[in-house]
Amino acid sequence: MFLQVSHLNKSYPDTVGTLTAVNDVSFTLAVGEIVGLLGSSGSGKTTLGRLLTGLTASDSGSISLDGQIISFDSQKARRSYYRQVQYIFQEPAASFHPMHTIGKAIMEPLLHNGYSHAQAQKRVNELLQQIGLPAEYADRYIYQISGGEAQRIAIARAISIRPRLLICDEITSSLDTLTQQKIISLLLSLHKQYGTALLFITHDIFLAAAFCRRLLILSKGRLVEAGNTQTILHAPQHPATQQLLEAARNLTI
Amino acid sequence: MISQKTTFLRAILPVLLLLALSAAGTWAAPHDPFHQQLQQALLPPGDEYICGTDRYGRCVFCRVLAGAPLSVLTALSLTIAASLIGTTAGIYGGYYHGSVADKFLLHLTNIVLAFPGMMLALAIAGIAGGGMLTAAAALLCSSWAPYARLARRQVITIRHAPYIEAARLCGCTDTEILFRYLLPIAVKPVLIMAAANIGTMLLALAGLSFLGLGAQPPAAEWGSMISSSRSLLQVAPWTVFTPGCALFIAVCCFNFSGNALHDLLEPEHNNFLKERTYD
Repeated sequence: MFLQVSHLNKSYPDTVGTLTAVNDVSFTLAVGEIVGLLGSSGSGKTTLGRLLTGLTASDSGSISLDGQIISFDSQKARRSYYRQVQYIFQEPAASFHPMHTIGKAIMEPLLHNGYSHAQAQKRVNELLQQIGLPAEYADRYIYQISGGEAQRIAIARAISIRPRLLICDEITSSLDTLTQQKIISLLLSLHKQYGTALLFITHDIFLAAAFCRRLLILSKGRLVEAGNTQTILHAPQHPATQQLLEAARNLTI
Repeated sequence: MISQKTTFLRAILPVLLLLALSAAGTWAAPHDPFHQQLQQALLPPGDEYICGTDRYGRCVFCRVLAGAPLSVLTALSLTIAASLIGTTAGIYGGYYHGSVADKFLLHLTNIVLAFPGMMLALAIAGIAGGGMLTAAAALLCSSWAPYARLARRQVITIRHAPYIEAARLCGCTDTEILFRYLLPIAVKPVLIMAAANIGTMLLALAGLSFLGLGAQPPAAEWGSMISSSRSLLQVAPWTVFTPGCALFIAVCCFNFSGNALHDLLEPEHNNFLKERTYD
């Protein structure tokens, strides 16, 4: 166990009062584990993912890495946390500065983590090769490439500094099935190579079941079910899990 | 389809022309612009003096040329200074949206904007006394605010964009995000606004001088030249029209440049320059 989330809460002001997006969520992640975080739309998946990276500040609760509670207030603490935990956005193209080249974007985390310019450039070429894109892509801008390519580049940027945990927020939901499969196999190969733990946030239970060993089910901000993938698939306990499975089965048929 | 190169030339040429003229200034003038010869006073435009002479017998054309650096360069540097100050205040306030510093800057901007710019400049120049330096300082005090508001709005719109959050995940500090991520995006509309405002600044400066609060005689400044010769409008119209035409041409040049810069920076079909809101 290296990441421990305890009693995390987050609510937003709403037109009728407050909307509780994440309600008392606690779970742990083991080193190199692949976990799926599932839930229907509005269940709080993205908010939870953002709380885990400090992009959204939590109301209460704590996140600890290797037993140390993380404070996102200090720039230094944030930096050292991001060296270990990285996040990939749902919209890959929007997560790149429109005036920076792909090469510059991938180099950013490297240059902030002790790489010299030349070393970073070399690593960018390696990474592009690893994700199956030609080296010329380093000179392109984000609006010059496709959605699937942008997502692969976002992965390359996130893994460039070899984080121990990669949080993937619905990274395949806007892609076609063939590209989805490419992205998943890329993630799995990275997991195999570096032992990176993956927290895969999705609404697609079958996609998550295909490669996640453990599933966490979120409903209305609460963690309602957690456990081994096979157990959850065959004997879902909570109505929300049953509904997710039912809906996915109906769609597949 | 007009190429980018043509648009760029369209943006840069009028200003280059004006700057060249300003740089040439007194050096290109056929006569000494400050030399008084009362026996040559109020000569109409002719072979010797192409734009005639003023009441002290000074060559009007030479004085317009000599006044170019003062008028054009002051307006240009004032606009640059105002946009720099305004943008810095604006991006800082926008990035730390809701902080005490932001609230202070916002109120200050609103107070300055609540006064008509020329009124505020007049009041400041009136209290501090005449002279080109006070006129420039007065105009600077009243002209930075629109830039601050524009830059702040821009930054508020994009500060939660995924690419800004991604920069934070990459380990960028707040200062790096401000200058390397936000500034390049926020600066475009500011640049366009600044280019369009140089002309206005030139007119405001001339206006202050016309009212006697800017350049003082015998300095050659277009506004003060118009002011000091306005009683001669019917007797020797060239003394007023020449600096007036120079002012008109300079304002037109800056406005043409501003328009071209707008076309260059905000082309309709350029994907990445389109404004996007992520709030």
